[in-house]
Amino acid sequence: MITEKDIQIIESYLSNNLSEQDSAEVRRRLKDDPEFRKHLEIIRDLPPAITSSSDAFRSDLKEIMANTQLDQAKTRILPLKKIIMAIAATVALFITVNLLIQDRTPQDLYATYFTIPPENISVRNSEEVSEILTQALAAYSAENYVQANEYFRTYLNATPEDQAARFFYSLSLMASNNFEEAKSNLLALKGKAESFNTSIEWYLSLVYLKNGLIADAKVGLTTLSSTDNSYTSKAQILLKEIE
Amino acid sequence: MESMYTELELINGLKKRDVIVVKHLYVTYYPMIRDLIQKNGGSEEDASDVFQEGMVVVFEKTQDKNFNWSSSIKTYLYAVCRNKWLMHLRRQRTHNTTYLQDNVEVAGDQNVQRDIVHQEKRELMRKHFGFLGDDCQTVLRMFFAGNSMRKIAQEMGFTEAYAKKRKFTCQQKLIQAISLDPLFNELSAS
Repeated sequence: MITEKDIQIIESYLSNNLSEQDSAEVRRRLKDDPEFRKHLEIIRDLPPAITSSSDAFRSDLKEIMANTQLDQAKTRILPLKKIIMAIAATVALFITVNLLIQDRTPQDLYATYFTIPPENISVRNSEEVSEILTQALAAYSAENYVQANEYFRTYLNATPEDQAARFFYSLSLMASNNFEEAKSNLLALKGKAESFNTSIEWYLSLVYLKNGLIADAKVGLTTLSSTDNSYTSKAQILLKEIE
Repeated sequence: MESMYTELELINGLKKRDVIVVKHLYVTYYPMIRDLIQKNGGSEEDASDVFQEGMVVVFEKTQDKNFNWSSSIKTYLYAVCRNKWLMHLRRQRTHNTTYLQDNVEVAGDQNVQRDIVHQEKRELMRKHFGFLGDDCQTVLRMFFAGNSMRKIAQEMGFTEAYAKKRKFTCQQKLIQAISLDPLFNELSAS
């Protein structure tokens, strides 16, 4: 059984509060005494183990896994001929698109590049608030953006700090052609929602493009194209098309 | 669904327990882990457990200020889950397995093994901590969080001398329970 004295010595050693002579004695014991070594390891590792938020994280993850439907489609292995045909079709499409883009307006480019992603929010908070957000997300997924906007607005009045909801609200506004309101919501998020900063930058650039604010669009697209992120190549292509 | 995140955004999001990022990681990487486990004798439930434990290891890694991410979350998570499943099979003693059926070369297995051992030891410490009485848990939790003995004494309604004594007896009990746990000794030997 570890003694109170040993606990005190080990704690002092770990916090560098021992004299050189006492520290040397601890190092000698660590070399010769496996039990003492084990006790030091436990005393050292207990505080981070107990104050860690791993249990809370595990609980979050379990809830997410229980409430998230995965795509059940199996991966198929395509025969080589089909792969080659798919590549050829993509190349043909690319050439066609390139030929067509020469006289496109910013609004045309917006229409080409704006796609609305599926929502991926886990609904939390109180039951009442969650119900409104659930309705907003259901309307969003059903592409009923006008209805989604109303629900999002109500939800965000009660829970203005929900960045994910505000992000998808912005996309819903864009999809329903409410660009000024989309812009102000995206600007409110910019620099604050670390998890999806690049997405905010992308969609904000598209809003500027739609409104004919080419210089503002180029600033965002230049940032995206010069760093490694999910939008790098799209931003590079779009910048070339604008220029 | 196209990826919305850079590697750094994923790491930072995971570090902060951002629900959207965690969900994204689940949706994106769970099928790969499920595939690995089911191809190697495990059930869907096994896959779910291994994935959760693997994610906890990755999460704990993001809390380590000194850790330098040299591989992607995907690579690291796969390596962790793969090792966890191997360890599970060996512990069952029904297999003397040293390899799994997959086509993936996993680099840096020794570091991953070390990370898994650390995480399992911490789990074990939390388990034994949970067996302590409420008073012991409160005293030690406050102590580990850096509170002074005076503050602990005030909070618990003790004298400072009694709080010190209580802290020692609770700590002694906990250290003894952990050091006698066969799993702790097995992990230390691995």
